[in-house]
Amino acid sequence: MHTYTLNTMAEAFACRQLTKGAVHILQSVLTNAELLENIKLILTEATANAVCHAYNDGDLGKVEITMHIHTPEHVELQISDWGKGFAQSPVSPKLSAPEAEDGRGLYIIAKLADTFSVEQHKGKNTLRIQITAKENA
Amino acid sequence: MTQLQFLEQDCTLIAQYVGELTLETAGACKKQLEEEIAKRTFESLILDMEKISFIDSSGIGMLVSLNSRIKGYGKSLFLLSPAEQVKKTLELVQLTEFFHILDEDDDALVLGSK
Repeated sequence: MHTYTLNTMAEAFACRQLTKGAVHILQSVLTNAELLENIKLILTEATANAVCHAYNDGDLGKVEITMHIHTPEHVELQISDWGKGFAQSPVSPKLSAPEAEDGRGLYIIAKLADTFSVEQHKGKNTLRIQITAKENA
Repeated sequence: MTQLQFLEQDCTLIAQYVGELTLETAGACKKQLEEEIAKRTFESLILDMEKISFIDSSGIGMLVSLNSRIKGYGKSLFLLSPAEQVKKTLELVQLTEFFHILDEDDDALVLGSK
């Protein structure tokens, strides 16, 4: 198993670069293009969620991605912040109405992930995601 | 650097966006589109999405917002030739029926060219 941890501040540009860095690492390991695309979208949504919701305005905290690469087809992702945490469990997010402008990020993560859980421990909030390549990919 | 370009053809305004449409970029794209929409005369807006390499939920939110605004003006929005990742993400959030999506063949029909 290989483990990588990357972090930056909870700001849109920085987190986009963070995600691109993580995907760049994974590109050298993963063999499945669809899995890589799905992880890219998951990391984008999870870090964007932290940028938008974790911290109060003007209180710029940290966002961290940890990746455990078990095999080329099985990856565990942890996206953490040290902000407010989730007001309620987002583990079964519902799909927003078509006219809604917001609220699709966690739904996308839940749809793409094999498993998806939330942990809050000593001020650290972590989305823990398991994802594997699909058989027919 | 502008990632949006505009072309007017008869009563149709064509906007082409190049790059990623994410939390980082969607706000500026939305602002520029709204400014152009407000000062131009058109019946339909076609957003050429062929060169949008990646979209996230913030980008999708921008499309929903744009659609609402265009409908509010009594006009129509068409999404032209979304790239594969964009199409898959719209499918994931079940919006492929909500939007009017044109593929390349429809493009020829609507624009009367190619």
